[in-house]
Amino acid sequence: MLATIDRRPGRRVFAWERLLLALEGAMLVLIVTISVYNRFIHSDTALHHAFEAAGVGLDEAAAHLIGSMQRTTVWPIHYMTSIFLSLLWVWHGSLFSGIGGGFRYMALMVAAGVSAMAGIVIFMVEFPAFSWIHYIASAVASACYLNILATRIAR
Amino acid sequence: MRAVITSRGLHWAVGAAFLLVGATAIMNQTFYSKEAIMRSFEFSLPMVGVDMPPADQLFVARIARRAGWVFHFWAGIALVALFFIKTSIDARIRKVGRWHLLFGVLVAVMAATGLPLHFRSQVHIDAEVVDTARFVHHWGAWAVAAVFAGHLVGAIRKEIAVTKKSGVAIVVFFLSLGPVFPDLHAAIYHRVKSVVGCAREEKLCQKGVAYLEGRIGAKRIERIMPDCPYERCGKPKKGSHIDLPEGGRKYVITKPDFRKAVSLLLESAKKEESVAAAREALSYLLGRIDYKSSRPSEVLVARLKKEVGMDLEAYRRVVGQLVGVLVQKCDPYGIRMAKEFARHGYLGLKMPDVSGCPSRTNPIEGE
Repeated sequence: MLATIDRRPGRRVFAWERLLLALEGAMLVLIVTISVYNRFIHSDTALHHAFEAAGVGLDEAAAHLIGSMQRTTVWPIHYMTSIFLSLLWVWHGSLFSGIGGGFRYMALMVAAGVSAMAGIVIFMVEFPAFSWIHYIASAVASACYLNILATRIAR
Repeated sequence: MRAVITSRGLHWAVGAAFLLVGATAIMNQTFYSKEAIMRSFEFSLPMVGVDMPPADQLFVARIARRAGWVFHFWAGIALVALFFIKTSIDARIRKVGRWHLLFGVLVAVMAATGLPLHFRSQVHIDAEVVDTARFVHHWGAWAVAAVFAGHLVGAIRKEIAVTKKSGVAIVVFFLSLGPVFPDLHAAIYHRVKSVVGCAREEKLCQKGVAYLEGRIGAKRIERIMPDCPYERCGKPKKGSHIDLPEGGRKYVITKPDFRKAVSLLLESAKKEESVAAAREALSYLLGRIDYKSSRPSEVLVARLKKEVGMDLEAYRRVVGQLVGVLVQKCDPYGIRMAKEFARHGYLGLKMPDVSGCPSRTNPIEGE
């Protein structure tokens, strides 16, 4: 695969990298969409209002249980895609920082690695205190990704 | 040069809007479809002691999904606007290709058919117009997806000069993702309270009600929720009526045998001439379908078929028979329903004459 990459700076885009970026972008959209749906559109509060419209009052715990049951099939897709994307970013970052991609690739690799590890801890060991580490590392990795994407598509 | 850069920027903006439209459509039609939401109610509502007929559950599901469709609609409007701005810029700097034009036509059709679907809750739009728009929008979405897949394959081939065989492999890969989505038409469960009591000698009626309430013949269903993302899942609110066995990870419900219950109640209404059984069965069946709609929801009809074993025609027939039994006995509930059905023409049923019943049992008389 690396044979298709022209390593001379500024001469050609990395064709394979553009494909990798597209795949990562699609995964990022999926992850963010699920998050937005689960945390806002189909949140406990939204569900509470929907039941109120039907004339059924729910207390907080009941709305939470009904909401959790609704979201239960969607979260695993979010988790697994997040972890897979983080691992993909680690690989992507290491591959391109090794051939002179610069600091942003290094940052992508490190942030994605931290995000993946924190995500695995949250998902497998159910240790929610790692959530903030996961969020911050994911945000850094996403910023690096968007920076790379912007330069690659604006060739 | 500036126009080229703007056009390129708009290309990716269109791409982002397209992804948003696609993502919201997929989310709304799969994980948060009416069926999926109602399927989750099957387990969660009994756990919190909410007793709600399927027609009401459908109403809640529709309300809950509205925000998702609002996002979809505005993302679609943004897509159309960005695409036509890009096209107008492209037309000045290069010849617009036929695939570009085809995509433009499809996007315009999607926007035109999306408008009645979005605004039908605010303004009156004929059901036929909405149905036609839905049909065209549904198949238009597949056509747009096909053009997008073609664009993607073309771009990939151009980027890395893959062989024709690889292009086919990529298309096959995308098509193979289809079966990943779960069956959206699985049946759901609901529970109905007994509204009247059967007489002591009405054995079939008593048995039917027992089946309906799940006291006999009910299936026990367990569901594990291993991935509950909140700390609170394992720790229900103090004093809450929610019972979460095994640390809140396992849910247990009982699912009544509705088919058997309805058949016993019908038998009781006919053989034992039980008013209680007829009322119970009618009240149960009316909660199953949005019978006041000019065209009952397909989701509810499919669920009725699966759980009670009745299609819409059989449903109409049985509802008509039950109202007939109740009117024959001059039951107030039956008379009220007969009048309501006759006045509004619900389900297209011909109702029996209620004038023979005394006015005491005829609550709508004189309205």
